[in-house]
Amino acid sequence: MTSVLLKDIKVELNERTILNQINMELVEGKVTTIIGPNGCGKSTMLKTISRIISAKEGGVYINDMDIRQMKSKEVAKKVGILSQKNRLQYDVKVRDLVSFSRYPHLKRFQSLKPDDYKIIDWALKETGAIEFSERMMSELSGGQAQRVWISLLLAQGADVLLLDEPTTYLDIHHQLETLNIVRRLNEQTKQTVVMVLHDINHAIKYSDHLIIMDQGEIIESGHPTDVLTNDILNNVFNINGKITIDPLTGKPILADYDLFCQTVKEVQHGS
Amino acid sequence: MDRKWYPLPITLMGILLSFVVAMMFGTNTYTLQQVLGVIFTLDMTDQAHQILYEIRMPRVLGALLAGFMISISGLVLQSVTHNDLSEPSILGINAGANLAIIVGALLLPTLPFIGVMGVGFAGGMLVGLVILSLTRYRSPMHLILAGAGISLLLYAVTDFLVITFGLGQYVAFFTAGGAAGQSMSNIVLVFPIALVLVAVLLFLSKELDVLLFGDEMAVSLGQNQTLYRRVTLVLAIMLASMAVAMVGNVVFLGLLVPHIVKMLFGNMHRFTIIYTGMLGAMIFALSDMFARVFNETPVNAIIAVIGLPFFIYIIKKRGRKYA
Repeated sequence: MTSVLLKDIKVELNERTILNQINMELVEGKVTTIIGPNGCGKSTMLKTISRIISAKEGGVYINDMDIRQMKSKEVAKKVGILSQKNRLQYDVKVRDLVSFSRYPHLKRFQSLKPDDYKIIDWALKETGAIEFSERMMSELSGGQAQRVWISLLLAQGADVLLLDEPTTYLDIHHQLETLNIVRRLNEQTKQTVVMVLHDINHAIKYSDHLIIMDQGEIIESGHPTDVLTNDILNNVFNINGKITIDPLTGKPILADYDLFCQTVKEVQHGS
Repeated sequence: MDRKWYPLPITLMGILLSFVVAMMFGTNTYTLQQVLGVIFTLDMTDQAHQILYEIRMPRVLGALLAGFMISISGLVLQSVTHNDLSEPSILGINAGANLAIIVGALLLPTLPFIGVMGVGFAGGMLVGLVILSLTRYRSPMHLILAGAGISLLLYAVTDFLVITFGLGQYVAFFTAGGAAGQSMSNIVLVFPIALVLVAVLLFLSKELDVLLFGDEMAVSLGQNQTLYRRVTLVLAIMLASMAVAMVGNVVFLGLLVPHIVKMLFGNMHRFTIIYTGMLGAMIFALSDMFARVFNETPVNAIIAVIGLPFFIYIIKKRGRKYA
């Protein structure tokens, strides 16, 4: 198991504070979802954990080791990230792309070994991407491409998987498909999963643990049933939402929502 | 084995074939028997054998070698800078190497060829690094503007030195580019160095693959980007500078060949490095042959004439869908 601890993290981008005083420990072996309004620092949090962005103050500790003192490849063996914008500037065959995942496990000048090929095959099969593994990325639909990216993340073999908006740009069917893959893999492999989602109902349905962020700070964290309240929706997202209990699942569900103020159209009609 | 290795024997045959053809045709045409005779039963009392062996063969081998180096240099520069327009002459590396060689020739007129290459490398390196630090590896527009601007400046300085110190004869061919005047001793010196540099690049092909797919990918896979970017850049600039010391400023080849190869074979460097080198060698040797046939037309013009239609054909046929 791999523990990840964030201590007093402060991140600034262009002299603007994005994350402020973040202290938390990732819940090992569970699915955690971060929700919050645009610009609240959700993605920055994932990027900080995976060293894409470095913190101005504080530190990220993997198994009590400061990531700045770890070798890059060692961090990559522990933490993998699926970025939000995975647009490829250059085209590549699916299998070749997924084979990049084994990079942290290779020494300098070393090429892929038979074991690496087995892991790549396993990852492609787990997501179903094996069907189109000989095709080019440019030929795939959004849902297919996302399965390839998840295969890449799986084959990297990290204990901690970070997924930044894995469902963006996908239709509802492929959103659920992607999230089901994540959920199933978490149950099989007991990897720690942290993802950023925008859909509150998806967050409830697929996570064991929920983190609500606003303006660079963690507002609430805990079991979805405990932390999601009408007040939170009201304060954090500035919407008039109604959380009720779904009679079928017994879980909370965001049943109805609207903005507090009148929409622009109504204002115009009124005047 | 990957099916992308299947064309390898054909390309090797292509190299042999272009060597033979380039040996046959030129200002004078020789027969296949004469060319094969030079290789298998050399007779230095035969005048044709003598010309072929002493003048044409070094030139053809030099062209093959220079084409090999320039094209691979272009490929690596494109990957490291994430820029489809990168190549040694656009980045100002050629102009820098050129100027340094001229200054070297002025200060040390008896500089041996290895010294010429060393000086060229220093010049190419300096200009390459200045341009890349100005453009911070990115932004195709800035790269072109900075590269073209600095190249023009350096060529102006070169011309000034050439005219002031009456170096016309020595220099004309560097700026125009061309494979004339090669000597076997230079080729024997450059060839093993080039092979070692390309072998190192081949060993680093997975690093180049990861570099090509961008910063976030590199960071999340734990690559030491700075190290590999520097190492591969230095290797590419060394290849380009050696080529300048041999054949002067050859343009377009380093841009054209890698793109043809990427459209045919995709982006993975374990394939593209080898195929780019071989195709570059062939195209340059054949272009130099046409240059000889057409009364020493500048080889840059021939490369454009041969390369462009093929380039356009592939762009039209394949579009952005690379194999």
